[in-house]
Formats: sequence, structure tokens, C-alpha cells
Amino acid sequence: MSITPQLFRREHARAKAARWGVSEDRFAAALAVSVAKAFGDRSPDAREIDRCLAMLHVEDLALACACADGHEPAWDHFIRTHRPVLYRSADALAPGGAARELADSLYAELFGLTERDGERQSLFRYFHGRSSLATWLRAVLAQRFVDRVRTTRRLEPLPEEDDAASPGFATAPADLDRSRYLSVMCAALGAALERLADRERLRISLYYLQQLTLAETGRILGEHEATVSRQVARTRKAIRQDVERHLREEAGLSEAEIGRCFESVAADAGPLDLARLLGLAPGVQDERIQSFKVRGRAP
Amino acid sequence: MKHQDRDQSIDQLLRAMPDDGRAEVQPACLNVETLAAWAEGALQGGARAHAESHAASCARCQALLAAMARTVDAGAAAARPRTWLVRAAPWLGPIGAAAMAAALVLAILPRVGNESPPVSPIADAAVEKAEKEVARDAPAPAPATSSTPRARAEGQAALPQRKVLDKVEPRQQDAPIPLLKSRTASSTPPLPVPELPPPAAPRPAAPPPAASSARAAPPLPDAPTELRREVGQVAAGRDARLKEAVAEIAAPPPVLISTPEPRIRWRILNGNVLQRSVDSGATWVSRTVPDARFVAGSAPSPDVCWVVGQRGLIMVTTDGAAWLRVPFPEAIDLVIVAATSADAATVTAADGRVFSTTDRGRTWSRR
Repeated sequence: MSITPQLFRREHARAKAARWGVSEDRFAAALAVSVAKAFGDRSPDAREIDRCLAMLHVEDLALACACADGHEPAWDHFIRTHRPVLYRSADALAPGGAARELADSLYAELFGLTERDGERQSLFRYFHGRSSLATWLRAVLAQRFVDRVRTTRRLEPLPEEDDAASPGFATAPADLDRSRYLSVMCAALGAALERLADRERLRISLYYLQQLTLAETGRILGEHEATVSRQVARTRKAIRQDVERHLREEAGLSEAEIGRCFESVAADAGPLDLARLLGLAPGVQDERIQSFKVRGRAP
Repeated sequence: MKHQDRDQSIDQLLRAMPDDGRAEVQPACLNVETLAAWAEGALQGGARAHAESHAASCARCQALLAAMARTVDAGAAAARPRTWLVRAAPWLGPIGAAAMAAALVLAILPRVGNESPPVSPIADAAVEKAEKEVARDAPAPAPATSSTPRARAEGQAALPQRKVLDKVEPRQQDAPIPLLKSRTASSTPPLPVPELPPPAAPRPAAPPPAASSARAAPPLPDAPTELRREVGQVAAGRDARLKEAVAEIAAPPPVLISTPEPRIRWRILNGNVLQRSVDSGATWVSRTVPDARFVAGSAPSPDVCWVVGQRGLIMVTTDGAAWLRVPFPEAIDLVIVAATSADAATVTAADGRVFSTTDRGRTWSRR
């Protein structure tokens, strides 16, 4: 099923594409790509196409087409309208202003400096109107920012091996016990996390690992923050029960030892690197534990 | 060590998990377009489930989602649909007003025999005054009451609506509400008025109204019985409003369920009322399921919707109107459902177990 010329004309008018000098043919080509992306290999019927078109942000798509084609008034409008959004987003990501540089560098990519077969390759060609242009720009900036941060971290040197002699790894028997309990706890925790449903794991990760607020977590998952709060508490309880079961049945600990496991976490004071602690307690090593590091609070 | 303390230990461990930031880009990672569509709630059905499934185990995509959440434009945030707390906010004025008015009405009752003031105008003035007071007081800060330490730490900025609720709730817990509640619980409803003191000596004749008085006082009832009835009616009216308002606040927040068709929406009210709107939420058609407690739903198409709840309760509609009970082997609480068609769905139990069906519940397999 293809899109009829009438539909193209209707959407061209709805997008007010003419004000940016975007021809019907040019816009039809962009729309066809958007629809094809939405349905993949499937052949949609007329109703599905109509619904898909109705959900597209066609005005933004027309602006993106015009900017990709180098239309000056469109660029002026784009800069005037969207630069504040980009800067606000950049400031939210890195309050010190470090992300503004990234935001500024996007303009070159959006304009398209790289040429292929004599044609500029604008970043706008990846915008298909599935979201608003402002949100898409935030997503581009977020992707650039996250990847830069992660690249930087990859280049950071790993801790030196001889750190093992630091005070946090004293070999007193009490510490060894505590180390063992902690490592068993973390193994149990890793197993419990693995057993969570996707959504629960994502909620827990966003809340604990990414340290989002309840409201931010809820925004991503489409849940009210009160729901997120309830679900996090419920999942935490489920994890606790799973950890208790793991300690009892798989690690073979007595109730008293299980109690000491939890106490060792609660009494955690001072820097503690679990990966190294595992080396001190090889008997309870678990592959999953390697991804966990327990860091205590500053004394 | 108590369960709560152990939960706290788990909380500490989870907080100590570092994101080492070294995860590589995978082919299945969310692209910019998907990320933006997710942020706007435009990812539907299978695409959303697929994206969630990947993000659940991809540190990079979680970081992307977190970055998106942190860059929400203030304007866009303001345009988001109002939450149930905000929807409840219009009730707060009448709640506080009703409570205060009822308290005032009750407070003056012992004196009416002696002074016989015009009751209705006093009550109305009290309502007006109380409404103004509540409106003035509403934005004032209140202690955070969120259930987790993290939520408390997030403070009032994250929960502006909650502040309004917190401000008013203590008022409801003050004297008027228990009194009114006990009164509404009476099995003989009509006019339960507290004992009045015996009629006093005949009151002196009221002085003639001043010539400059703009409003003449309404005629006073002749006998204490009439007066008692009128006061009782005012209090009973307040009772009903108060009862409704309290029920509204005590009810769980509505669960909103979107469909691929934006104008068609589902929601679960009070846990047991299933509602459908075909006009973007302007009007709703309800279906009540007695004794049910639904907590989640999923609508893979405009006419198909699955809902799950406590004790293994699952229901599905395939035409947007009639609901069918879907068999489920265990009476456990179900908390999540992700449906892909009228026959196929995956449900998650409160204990974390995940079950799937592809034949509308005739058979279930555990994932």
C-alpha cells in the first residue's frame, strides 16, 4: 500500500511546508521515508498510514527538510526557536557549561559539512517526525554527552593493584568475616537482580544506578511518582526475600549468619572494594559479583 | 534484625552499586529517534516493550534515558497531563471549607437556643472564609511524607502537589472529621444533631435594622426544632461533600493506559472501575468490577485491553466493551502486564515471576 498523492498534498498543507520553500515532491519523499521507518518490512493498510501520518510532527519535519536543504529563513527560525532548548538541555546535563560546547558543535553536523557524492550529509536526515524536533535535539545531545562521558571513563586508568594494601583491606579475622558476608550478600543480590522482570530491573536501575528522582523515573516509565515509589519499595522487598532465600538455600547459611550478612551491610563504614574483597574470599566467588563494587560512606 | 532493617540493608547495597560507565554501544541500543519517541510517550506496544527490555540490561541506554529525563524542558514538563493529586487539588478547597464550616456550625449549636443567629448565612460565610484561607494557605511548605528516604531527600520541589495535600490533611485529622465520620456512620441518617441545651428564656426583640444595612437578615425560624432541622441539613450537606472528598483522596491514583490510537484511552479508577474514552479523555464510559483490585493494564490496540490485579485476576476486552475473565493458575498478586494482542500477554507477579500466554490464558508458561 503506497501513500496517495492526495495524502501527500494534505500533509504538505498541514505542515505549512511551502513557507520554507519545501516542494511537495521533497516533502513526499521525506514522508515516505518516515512511514517506511515506522512500519519496517510490513505493508500497512490505508487506515494505518493515515493514523501514522496523523501522529507525525509534520511541521517539524518540514522545517528539518528545509534546514537540511540549506534554506536560510528556515535556519534562522530553527536557531531562534531551538537554540535556547539546546542550551537549557546542555546546562541540565552539565551545569558547569561543559555540554554547551557539544551543543554548539551540533550545528555543524546539522548543517552537514561532510559531503558524499557532492551532497552535504545533514544530521537532519535522521529526523523522521516521530517526535517533536525539540525532543529529538535533546536526544541527540543526550547521546553525544553520554557517549563522551563513557569514552572519557574508558580512558581513565584502573586502580593500581597495590591498592590492596590500603587500610580498607586489613586482614583481621573480623574483617575477613565481614568481607565474606558482603561478598555472599552481593552474589545473592546479583542473582536477585537478574531474576527481576525487565521493567522492574529498569526501574531499579534508573532510580539507584542513574540516581534519578522518583518523578524522573516515573516520566521515563510512564508512571506516577507515587507508583514508582510503591513499586521500588515492593521490588526492594522482593529482592530482600530472594536474597534471604539465596543465602539460606544456595549459600547454606544459618539464620544467625544471614542476620550477620545483613548487619555487615548496615554497618558498612569506610571504603570497601568488593572486587578486591572477593579475592580474599575465593570460596564464595561468583561471576556476577565482578560487576559490583561496594563503596562505603566516608568516615 | 527486622524485615524493615533488612530492606534498608538492600537499599544501601543498591545505592552502592556504581555505574562504571564503560558499557559499549550494542547493535540493539536505542537510537536517537527511538529515544525521542520514548521520551514523548510515542513508542507503542511491541516497540516500547522491546526498548524497555533492552534498556533494562544496557547501562548505556539507561544513561541515555537518564540524560533525557534530566533535560526535560520546563515548558514541556508544565504541559504534561495533570496527575491525580493535581486533579484532587480542586477538592481541597471544599474539603477544608467543609470541615471548617461543619466545625463552626457545631460550635455555635449550643448557643443557638440563646442567641438564635441566622444559621445559613453564618455557615455560608464560614465556607467562604475557609475557602479563602485554604486557598491562601495551600502553597505553604509542609513536611515531606514520602515513603522512602530518597523521596524525603528529594524534598518538596519534586512533590509540589503533595505539599498542598499535606497542608490540608492535618486539618482533616483534626476534630471535625472524626466527629463527622461518626455521624455519617449512623444508620439513621436524616438529621443527627447533637443535644441542644434546653430553650432559654424568650429572647429580647431584635433591634430594628440600621437604615444603612445593605442586606436584611433572613427570617429566623420560630421554634428550636426548626432551627435544629436547618442546622442539621447544613451539616448533612457538608458531610456528604466531605465524605466524597475523603473517599477521593483515600482512593488509589488512576492507572492510565494508552492505546495506539491517541484519542482512545483506558484507565482504572479506585482499583475496580474500568473506564474507556474515545474522545481523548473528555468523556469516559465506566464498567465496575465488584471486589476487584486492578493495578495495571496494557492495550495493544484500540479495542483490546488487558488488566491485571490482585489474587491472579486478569480480564481482557477485545471489543472495547465486554470484559472476559482470563484464567490464571495461581491466586497471586499481579503487578505488570504487557499485551501484544487479544491472545498474547506477559504478566509479572508481585514476587517477580513472569508468566506468558499466547492463547488468552488457556495455557501459561513461566519465563
